Amino acid sequence: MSENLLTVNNLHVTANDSEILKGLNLTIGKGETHVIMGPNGAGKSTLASALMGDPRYEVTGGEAALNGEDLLGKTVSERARAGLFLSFQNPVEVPGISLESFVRTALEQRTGEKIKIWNFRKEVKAVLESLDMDEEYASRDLNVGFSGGEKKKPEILQ
Amino acid sequence: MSENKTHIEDVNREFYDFRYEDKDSFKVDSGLTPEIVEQISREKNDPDWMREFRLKSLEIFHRTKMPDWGPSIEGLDMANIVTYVRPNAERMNTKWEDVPENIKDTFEKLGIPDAERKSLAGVGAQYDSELVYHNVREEVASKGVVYTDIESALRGEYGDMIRDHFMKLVPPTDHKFAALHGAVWSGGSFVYVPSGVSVEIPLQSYFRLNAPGAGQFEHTLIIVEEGADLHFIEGCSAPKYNVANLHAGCVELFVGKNAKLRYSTIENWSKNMYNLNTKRARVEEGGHIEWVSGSFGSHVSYLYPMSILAGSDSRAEFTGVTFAGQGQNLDTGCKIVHLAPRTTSYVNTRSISKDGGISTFRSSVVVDKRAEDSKAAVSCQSLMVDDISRSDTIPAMEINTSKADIGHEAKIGRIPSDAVFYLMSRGVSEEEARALIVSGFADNVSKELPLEYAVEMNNLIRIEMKGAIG
Repeated sequence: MSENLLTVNNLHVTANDSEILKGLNLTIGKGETHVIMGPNGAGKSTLASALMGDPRYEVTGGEAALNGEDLLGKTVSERARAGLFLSFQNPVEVPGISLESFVRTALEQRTGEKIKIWNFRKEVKAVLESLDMDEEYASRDLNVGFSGGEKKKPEILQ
Repeated sequence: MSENKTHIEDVNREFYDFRYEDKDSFKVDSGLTPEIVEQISREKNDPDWMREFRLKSLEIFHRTKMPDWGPSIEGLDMANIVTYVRPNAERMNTKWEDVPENIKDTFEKLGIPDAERKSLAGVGAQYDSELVYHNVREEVASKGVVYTDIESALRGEYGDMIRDHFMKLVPPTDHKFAALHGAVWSGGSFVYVPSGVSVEIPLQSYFRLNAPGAGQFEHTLIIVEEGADLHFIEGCSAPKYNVANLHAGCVELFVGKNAKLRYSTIENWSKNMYNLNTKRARVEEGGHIEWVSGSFGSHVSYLYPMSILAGSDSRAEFTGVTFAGQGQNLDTGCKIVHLAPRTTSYVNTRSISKDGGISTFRSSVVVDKRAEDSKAAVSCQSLMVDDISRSDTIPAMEINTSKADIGHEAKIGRIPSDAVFYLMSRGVSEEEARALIVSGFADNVSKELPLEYAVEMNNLIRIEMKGAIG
């Protein structure tokens, strides 16, 4: 069992008063890549959102664990720090916060260490270049006025 | 995660609430009589016209009614307010070393000498009612710029200039507290920027109230002549007392032809302060006034800086943030009067209320019939952090010409839960996510401020937002 990274057991999830996941089981081992396919409304997004802890989805039964640790009792930020990452279909626009300062705050909170701004800038610049993004994006407000593709790129950056 | 209500603890104001024993050498009796006003005038060595002006203002004060249209100021006991307190320092120290230790220590904690070292042009710091520290960098003075305390300027070579401008924009008849100000005003700054001179670095003054029950009535008079350019910063912080405290200052700004003045304020009065401040600017042809205003402290505030666009093609911009927490009722906004053709105004404000705080945005835009082809735009946004706080918007517009372009936009909202979720899914705690969103919301003001002030304002927002989340 120690090789299992993510285990989902008999998961029930409700959104807007209707049950969408009715006892889902899933085991993902270390190093594996899984693709979940299904028609619209099958519950693919619901599964991802519920695992991350989106407050719009209510887990009504079952359990989920990451590295053997229970996920469902954790806050969203604890899940993220445990290593769970959700790439959003539609990243939310947050005016007034620059992409750079957001990524820095997130990193600081995850590692508990203060980050030296200059070193961090250099790193950000390198990653932006590898993604073929203009440096200017680092100082723009998070996702505001970004196109669909541009919104997705910072997701990779993070 | 369930949709629990967010509880945010009261503000940690320890840093701002230190104070020293009150050992002032001189105090007038509480309550206002002509004798007291004359005593103040004698003590200040006023010219005759000023003594008469004070006495006349006192008469106006006694016959003017208390304002009854805004937040309640019933807690203000006028008979109990000591109007004049002089600190234990000789007036006008120009050297930092000469400032008394305990006063210096207070300033030290507020970061004043630091701020100066960071290349600000001069510090006029007001401790209680008088200026004890004042210093203008030589490079500024050598251009002919005058930056001094208004009381000594009154008796010097600029006396006539002050007489021509003093309380001409805000006459004592304007309202009860303007009359009070006229009678007992004390301390403040005088700035004169001659024609064509551009002051590269911002001038800053720091006001602070210390004695219990003492009001502060400082007067700021700034004259920027034709083609000149100035940025003036006023910052306020006061320690906490149980007695009602009153601030009724007055700011008068004269912006000449094609001149530019930016006036920035961060007000952080302690939570028992009644802040009834009056600020007004008159802008001549092609001139430009920019107000940047952050209101965080005080129990009750009435604050509506006014811009009079008197000359054609003149412009006014107002950018403001108001943050009302528990027990605070902050009524803020601005007034714009368009009197001449092709004048432009732009108002952009954000208000935040939390823990039952009330923030009201109140504005008035008047476009005179002479002001053809003018433009006015007002945009106000409010954010309520919880369900017990309140936010009101009262924008008034009076347009007397059909040839004007007027726009208004208002938005009231809450912290979006999807944004909180998004930020948290990247490992940011809920508390931090909310603080990030609120400081992002106040971004319109912070990006207009010099760096150290923007940092201070962001810290203030963080302090206000911090606390237990459950």
